Amino acid sequence: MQKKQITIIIGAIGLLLLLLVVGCAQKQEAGGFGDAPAKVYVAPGSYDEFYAFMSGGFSGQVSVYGLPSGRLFRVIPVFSQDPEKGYGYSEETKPLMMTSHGFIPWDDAHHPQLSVTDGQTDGRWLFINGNNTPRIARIDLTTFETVETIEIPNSGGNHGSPYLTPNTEYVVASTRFSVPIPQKDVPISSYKENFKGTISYIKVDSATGRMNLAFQILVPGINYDLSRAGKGPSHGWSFFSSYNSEQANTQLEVNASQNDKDFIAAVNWKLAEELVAQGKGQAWPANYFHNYMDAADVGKSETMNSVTILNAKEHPGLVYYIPTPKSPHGCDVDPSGEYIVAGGKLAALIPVHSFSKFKTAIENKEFDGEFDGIPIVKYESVLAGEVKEPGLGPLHTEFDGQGFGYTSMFLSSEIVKWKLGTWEVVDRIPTYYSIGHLMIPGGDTKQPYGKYVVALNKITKDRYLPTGPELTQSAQLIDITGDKMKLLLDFPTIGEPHYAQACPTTLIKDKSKRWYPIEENHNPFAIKAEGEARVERDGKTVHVYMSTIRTHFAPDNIEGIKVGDKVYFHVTNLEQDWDVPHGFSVFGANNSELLVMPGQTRTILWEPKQAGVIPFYCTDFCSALHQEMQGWIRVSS
Amino acid sequence: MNRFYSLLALLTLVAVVGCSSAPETDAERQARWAAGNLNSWETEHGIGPVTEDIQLAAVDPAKAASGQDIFIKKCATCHYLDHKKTGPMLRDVTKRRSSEYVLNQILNPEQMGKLHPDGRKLVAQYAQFMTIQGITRENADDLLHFLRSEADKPALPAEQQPGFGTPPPPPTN
Repeated sequence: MQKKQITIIIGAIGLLLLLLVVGCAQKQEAGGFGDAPAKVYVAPGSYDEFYAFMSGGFSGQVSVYGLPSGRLFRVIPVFSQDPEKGYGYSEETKPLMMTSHGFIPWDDAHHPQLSVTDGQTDGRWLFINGNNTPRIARIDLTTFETVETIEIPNSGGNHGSPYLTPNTEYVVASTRFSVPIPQKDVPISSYKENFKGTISYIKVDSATGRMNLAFQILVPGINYDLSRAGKGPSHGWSFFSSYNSEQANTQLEVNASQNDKDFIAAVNWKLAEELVAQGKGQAWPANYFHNYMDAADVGKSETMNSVTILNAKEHPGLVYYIPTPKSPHGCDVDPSGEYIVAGGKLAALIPVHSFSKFKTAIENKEFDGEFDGIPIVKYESVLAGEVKEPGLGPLHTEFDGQGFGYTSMFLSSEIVKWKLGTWEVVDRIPTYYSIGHLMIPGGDTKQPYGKYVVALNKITKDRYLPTGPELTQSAQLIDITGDKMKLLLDFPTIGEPHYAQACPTTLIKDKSKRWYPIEENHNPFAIKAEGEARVERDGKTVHVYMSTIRTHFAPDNIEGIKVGDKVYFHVTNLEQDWDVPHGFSVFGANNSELLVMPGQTRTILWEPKQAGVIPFYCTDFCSALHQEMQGWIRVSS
Repeated sequence: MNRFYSLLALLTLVAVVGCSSAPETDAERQARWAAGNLNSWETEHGIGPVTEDIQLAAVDPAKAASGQDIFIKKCATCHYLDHKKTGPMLRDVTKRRSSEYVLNQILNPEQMGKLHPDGRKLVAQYAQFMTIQGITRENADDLLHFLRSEADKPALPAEQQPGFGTPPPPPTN
């Protein structure tokens, strides 16, 4: 009897314990985010701490988010036409999409880069590459508008771009795919004989930001993938990961993965600069476009026909190869400028090269032969250390400024934190799923802001409500202030968030332009007052000088238009107040609407095809009488 | 107990004197306006950068001419002197309203429309806030000279209104 009672009591206690354990486990699972909600909650009317600029990948755009809230503020069209804003449709912005191949309204935008001064983010401009038809764009961070694009000649794909030198002296671009340079009609199988790579240095005017292709370095024909510039002791150098040292021309997934090591190319750009100044470069014919918004805020296209080439083989000391396992992808330089971290995507470790050892190895001529005329520095002579067994598929590394590196692991879907110097893995956190790049605010600069790491994920599978076969891609905000990384927030992104950069809002917020002063509007078709509104005919071309203000257009009755005319509406927004753009759309337009910022002039072409009376109206809800903001055009046959 | 009441009275006096003698800060004024608590001067003369009576000089023809230029560029988008448009007709505005009110309306249209009782009535009537046009204080003074110079003149036909701009249809060819 007693025994039975004891059994019952023990049983009851056991049951209770079980309940407790299960209960606790469930509780942990449900509420395991602890204080995360408070950390990402930005109260209504309050501002975020960081601006994050995320590339839209193959959407060709950049999106602007706030951190830590993950709220989307704006999508900036760059290489893609955007009918919402009339970008790439208006006569003023169409020239930004001109290339030597004609008008190209799309590209694959990968790597946003915030301009830097003394290796620190300065909040002036954002650069981003177009991968497919090689281009680089510059966005003005006072207006969040794309203001310049430059085409890169002699490139077969602009992936390793647009990485900046520490004072934004240069924007760098390397060709992902080697091709015959200059292009010629040869068998694809003649890769080894005919294919070359280039690394381009585009000078940035420190006052205006205007880009100018200063020189290109002709390098052996392999794939140049990603890059970072040196800083501190390594200032004056750039580093590029590369793959396909096998020089395979088919089935690269197998044939470009044969060699145990590929290379990081180290380029002495200070020396290149000197060589060019000494006239050692060769002028090669080229054909590429340089497009920019001019002083009148009107897009201009210039065709360029020459480029200065330095052949790497002919200039000792210009380029070295550092052996790096195994088809390296990321190539990142730590805040001190001493360490160069490679993400060998097929490697079982993360190699870290030492810049000081690299210099010594060159002085002592510790070479391991050469590749197509470029000296190969001995791996062991340059290696600082290896992060062992970090995970699967290491790609990219950013830094927190506290002595740690954070590397994304594509295959094992995680971020791994490791210590610079000891190379020990100290923490890891899963990501959902298939992380590509990762981003720490200022994580590639001399003094990272730290605080968060953002995972940029290619695949989300079960993380969000399904939306048919294609699911959103995502960003994940992770707190890195403690010893253990903590997941705070998932949020969906526009397009592929290929890479991102972030900086404190103070660098940008107070410089943000609120309107364009009408007195400074030098668009040749601008009008400064409503009384100047008019319609002018020149043969079959009609120019409508139109003004818009709450809540009317002038003119709002237009007669005398004929079928077959080309009608240009030059719409000037006379408002001089923040957040009062006006829209303009006309029935049957084959392009898009216009969205005209206060004080700005934008032009859209309309070609009426049949007689009648055609309405036009304001699309951007501007005021209580917005519905009255309209007019008619009489079209006669 | 008497002593207590004396102390209370003294404290109250200090508080009252303290309150009335300290000048109102900008922040305090903004908070008072936001609460809809306008004093009688503000009700008559509007709220904005002009907060006390101004001394009016005689109309200066040069300033009136400059004011007309500004009127044509900035005001005629919505106002004619004697012809109905987006906002009220302005021929006799300087007779209907004090100069201080006119200046505040030009220089502070958003708050005048949101917080001033007469401004709110106009917003309700025209379904529209007066737009901000980047007018400086000097511009506004010139506009006042122009409006005062026009106040007693006879009304003009529509096409002779300053800033009138209905464009002619394009020539057909």
